[in-house]
Amino acid sequence: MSNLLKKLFGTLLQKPWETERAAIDNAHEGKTFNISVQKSAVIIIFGIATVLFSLIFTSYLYTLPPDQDTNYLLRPNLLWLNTLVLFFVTYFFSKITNDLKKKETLKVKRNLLIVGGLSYLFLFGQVIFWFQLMKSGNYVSTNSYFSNFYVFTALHGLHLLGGLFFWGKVSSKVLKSDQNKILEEEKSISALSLYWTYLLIVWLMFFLMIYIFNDAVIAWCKSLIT
Amino acid sequence: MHPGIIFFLVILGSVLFHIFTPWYWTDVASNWGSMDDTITLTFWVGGGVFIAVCLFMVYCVFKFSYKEGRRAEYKPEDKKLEKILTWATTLGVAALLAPGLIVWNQYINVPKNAIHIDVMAWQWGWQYRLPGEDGKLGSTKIKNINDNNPFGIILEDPNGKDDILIQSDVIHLKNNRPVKILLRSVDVLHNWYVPQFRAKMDAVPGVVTYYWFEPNKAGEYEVLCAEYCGVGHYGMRGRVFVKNEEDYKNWLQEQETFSDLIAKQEEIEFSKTKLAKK
Amino acid sequence: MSEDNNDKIIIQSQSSESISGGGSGSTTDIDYVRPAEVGDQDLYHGHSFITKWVFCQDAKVIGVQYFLLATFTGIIGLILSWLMRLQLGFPELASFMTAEHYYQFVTMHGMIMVVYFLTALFLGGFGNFLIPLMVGARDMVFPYLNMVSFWMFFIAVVVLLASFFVPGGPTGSGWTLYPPQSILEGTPGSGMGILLMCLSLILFVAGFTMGGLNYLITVLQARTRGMTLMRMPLTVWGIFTATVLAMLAFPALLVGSLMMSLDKILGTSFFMPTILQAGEVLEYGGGSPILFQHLFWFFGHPEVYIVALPAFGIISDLISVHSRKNIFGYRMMVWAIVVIGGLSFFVWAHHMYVSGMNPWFGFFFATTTLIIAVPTAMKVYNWVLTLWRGNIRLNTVMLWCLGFIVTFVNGGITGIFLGNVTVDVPLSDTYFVIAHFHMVMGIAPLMVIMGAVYHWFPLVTGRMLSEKLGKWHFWFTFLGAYSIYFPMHYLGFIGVPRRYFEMYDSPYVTSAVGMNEFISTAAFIVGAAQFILIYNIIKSLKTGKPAGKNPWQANSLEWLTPSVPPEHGNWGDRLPVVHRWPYDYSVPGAKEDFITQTTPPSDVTNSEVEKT
Repeated sequence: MSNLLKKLFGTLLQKPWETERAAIDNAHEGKTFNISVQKSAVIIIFGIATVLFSLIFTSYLYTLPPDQDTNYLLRPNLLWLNTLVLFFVTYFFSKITNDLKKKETLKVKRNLLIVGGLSYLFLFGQVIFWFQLMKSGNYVSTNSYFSNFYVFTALHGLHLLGGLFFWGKVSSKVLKSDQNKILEEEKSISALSLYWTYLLIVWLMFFLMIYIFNDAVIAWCKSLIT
Repeated sequence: MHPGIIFFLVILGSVLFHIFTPWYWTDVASNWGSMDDTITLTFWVGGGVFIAVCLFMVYCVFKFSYKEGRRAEYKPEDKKLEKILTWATTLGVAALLAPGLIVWNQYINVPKNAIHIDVMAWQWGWQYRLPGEDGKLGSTKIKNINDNNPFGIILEDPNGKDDILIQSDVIHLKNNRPVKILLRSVDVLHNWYVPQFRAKMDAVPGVVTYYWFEPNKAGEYEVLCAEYCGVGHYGMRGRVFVKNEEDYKNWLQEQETFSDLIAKQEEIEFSKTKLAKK
Repeated sequence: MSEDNNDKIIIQSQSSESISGGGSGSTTDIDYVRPAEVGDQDLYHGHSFITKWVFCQDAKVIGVQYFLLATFTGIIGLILSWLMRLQLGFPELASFMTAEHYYQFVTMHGMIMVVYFLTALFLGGFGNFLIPLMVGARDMVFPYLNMVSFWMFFIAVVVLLASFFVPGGPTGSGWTLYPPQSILEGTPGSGMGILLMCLSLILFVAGFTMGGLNYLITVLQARTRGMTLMRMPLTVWGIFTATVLAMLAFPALLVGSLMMSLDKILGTSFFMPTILQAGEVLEYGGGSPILFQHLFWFFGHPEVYIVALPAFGIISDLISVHSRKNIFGYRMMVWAIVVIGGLSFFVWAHHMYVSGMNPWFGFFFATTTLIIAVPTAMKVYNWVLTLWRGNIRLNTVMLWCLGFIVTFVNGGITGIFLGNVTVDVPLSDTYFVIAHFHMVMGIAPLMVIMGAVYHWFPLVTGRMLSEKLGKWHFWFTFLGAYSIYFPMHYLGFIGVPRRYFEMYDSPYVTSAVGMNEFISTAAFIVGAAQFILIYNIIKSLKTGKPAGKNPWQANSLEWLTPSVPPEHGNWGDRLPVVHRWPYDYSVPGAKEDFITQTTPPSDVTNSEVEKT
């Protein structure tokens, strides 16, 4: 980060009209960062997604406390299992990275499949949880707590589906090809891994928020003070 | 004609327009003359900058228009000049900001002796509620609003019983006495605005917003809705009369309190059941 | 299969060996720079009409497509404004207009002009056309995505215009779309109208994000050899920073639109408190209308700069070229763009001083808002200081620049009125606001667009526009627009509220009637004057003077392509190599009063570049 700032300010202080500067500038490659355009795109998408999700978080906090009870979510439920599933995905991604280094392509293929399967399992679990919620009478219009919950999970799910689309592209390539080709795909696989890590972080933030900034918890904290 | 001349005439025309305009603000009728002062200050500083920049531009256009063979100056930057300009601008901006913030501080801090007025807005009209002898307004709830309880006053709240209800878009105010306007809306955004008082604030459904002013000129004023509120927005008017103390008292005495209203309704109810029995 | 291969022609940047092999003897050491080692870019060359002009992947064609579609929607916006001015100035002639129509026209005019006209035109139009040319790239980095971006925009426009034909008509909730009224009975188009508006905005944002990815990555990662960030023309800086703002601000609009649609369709209460309408309590509760306003203006204020920053950049380049002088204080100009961009995310609530938000926010947002005036003022000073001791060509392009300076300074100063919290109280929601933002965000950017059209038309088409018609066009537009909006401030001083279908017998009406008639007349003339440009363009396409290469003697790369207008791939078989910044005008000792960016140092041996 500090490097980035240094680079930025260093750039902004250049005097491009001076002859000494021109000699340096003439050798410039025309590239600002030493990363591929694909990776730049992924990073920019993270930026946009971060703004999007933080706005939803903010709007959730803004409308607290909801005027109806939210205790249903606080009971032990499927969400905890789904969170565990997401953790496993990240775990398998780290395994894939290791296996790539060791060039154990068979394991890479297997784990890539597991990652996809677990992601679909997560989505399936989320949908089941939606049905459980609705069965218990908590709809999207019930109160602001649930409205935000549904909207967030839906967007997060869409975000994940977008990732799965690229997972499909990469893994179909990987499954068909032999060892050397697979190693060539390392860049895309590491981009995927980055993507899933991001998904996990966003999910954890959300998960913490609905449990911490919740009127039941707030009430409990208040009771501690008084 | 040289374009510079036309640009100059535009600047000159703007100045002349300002001097001779018949369109200018109405006489202020509240304590917010200080808002006019901040406008005037901004006007002179801003207007000065506008004229200076534009005249400099016109000068350049005259003096440096294209001549074959002449070379422009080559000077990528002038740090000293830029520094001076930055600081001068910063100073000017600070000079405008400071009075603004001081007056804003007065605007959001209501004097203690202000009379509270509940201004209730709906699509498309106004009605008002004044505190009774206890000087306190009863609390309200939108779900309580019905024909018998037009303001949605919570019946259990003792403060509400003597509230004075004015179910009309005409309100009277006492001259030289601060009022705190408590705005609420039952449906969409509105804004209770009297141009002569200068002040305004949106009425937002779900919350109570406020502002205050002290009327200081007796007379009749028009209330306008200043926040778009649907197709009837432009017709959402009302009237304010600023009266001296005696007239105000007389007017106040003629108004109905909430308990009067309840009593009247009970009477009607009673006569109805009587009729039914007969 | 072989046909497919024919469609894809790989353009290779010339390898370093071939240059050094032939040129080592004839060039001096300081001249020798290897061309950029840019990976070969596969460009899809269309052969049929459809792939060449409709589903085209050439950024220049996409830019023109954006330009034309944005102009088309802009003309619809213009017609809507005529209808509104007819009602305000001559209500007896507008008997066909109901209040519903009026509010629908107000809404659609605002939304079209801000989002579908100005934003699309500056970023989609100028961005696509100019970025690859100015930074020396062959095309955007993701040409296919770029094409999809335009067609998403196309669908967004279709959805937007479709709302004119659904039951209830388009939404009439004001361009700010404030709930609760936007989705309640009592506002025109509160059914299908508002939903289509939200859908259209979501599509626009999605499409724009694809384009924005391209602009950012092309500027950052795909420049040509020697093109450092600080050697980019200010146009690119403006468009680049505006794109960053757009990427961060548009999600707020997306979230707002999405939540509002859910409030309407599924009965959620994101923005809906308990509401009593027509004697009935609706099934909403717990939401906050002010939350929407925060979301909207978190998008809405950066949006102002999304339009303004490209305009700042373009005008800087136009002034510099036509004053034959380097832009004064290039570094300050870049800093100002970056600082304004950063600050623009901390000022949004100055649109909400009287919205009922916590009044203590007023102190913070008034301060940040006035701080942003400083870098903006610096830009203005630097524009006029560029004219100072220049060699100013008073052609049509320069006239538009001068018109921009006058209107922008005027509108900027009234912005200081509205940004300063106390001064804003009496003036907010009056015609002063209308006059302010039309001057600063309507007329000033329009001046830039027009200037840019006259400036770059020769590059796009290879023909010059008529100067004579251009000057008529300018004077009608500038004088007309100024006489619309300058007096309008004074209606605001009186306290005439905005969004009034008519004034009835208000005490203000007597003094405002004459002014309204005058303003309306001026508006009709200004609108009609825009057809001079259309005539000029058509005429010039047929019989215009051929422009030749670099008709303005400009330095920046876009004029230095091997063919004019530039072909697909821009640079023939060799990428340009940049040797200097784009503002070497009137360098002392040089042969001519301009030195193009690709001119190697050995060609200007006499030049003594002054150091500061």
